[in-house]
Amino acid sequence: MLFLSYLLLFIGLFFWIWGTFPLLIKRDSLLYKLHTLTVADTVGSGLILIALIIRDSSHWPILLISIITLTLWNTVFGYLLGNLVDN
Amino acid sequence: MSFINPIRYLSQILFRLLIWCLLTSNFRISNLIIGITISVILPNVRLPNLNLSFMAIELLKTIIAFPKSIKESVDLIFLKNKEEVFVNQRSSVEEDGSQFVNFLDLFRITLTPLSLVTRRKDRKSWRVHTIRNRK
Repeated sequence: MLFLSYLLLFIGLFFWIWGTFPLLIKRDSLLYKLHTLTVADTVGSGLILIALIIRDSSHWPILLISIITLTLWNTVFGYLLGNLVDN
Repeated sequence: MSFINPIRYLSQILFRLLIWCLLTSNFRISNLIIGITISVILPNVRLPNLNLSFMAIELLKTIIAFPKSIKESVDLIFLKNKEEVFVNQRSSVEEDGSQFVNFLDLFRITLTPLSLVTRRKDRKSWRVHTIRNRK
């Protein structure tokens, strides 16, 4: 179980780094950056939080709430920024 | 006072109680009574044009989108020769249909890393920005 937790944690960290790196590259378009940020923020953070649930299962309700709110806000703001870019 | 569908009312109460229990992470009787009281006191949500069985299917599809987003992240990382295009994707309800189902549809498309809704194209479709392999 601890191994699975570490695995998810490191996959999540990899997604974080891979997803935020394009912010520094000028030739990428803003919408592409939004796509990679989805990988980082929604999926990466989600995996890290799932790893934390496996590690400390007594705090699962608050971690589950964090997963739900993170995906909700990331998606809503992703749509908002995408809408502004497209206009 | 307008007529309220009992099933809809009950599901609304249960949904609020679920959030209350998750937030407080406490299943004692006293806490449950406080939660039920608060769920009943809060005003009713107005969700026009909402068909409950249709909404259940949409909710299931949204839950399936979570594992799909992990798969699409891996796809995006290993994509060579990527190309960014705008496509028109059919929405599951029309623009003046249920607002909640419209939101779920938008959420589902935007959640996955390869597609991002930017705005409504017309009454029946979204304008979606996607990344795909160059042919």
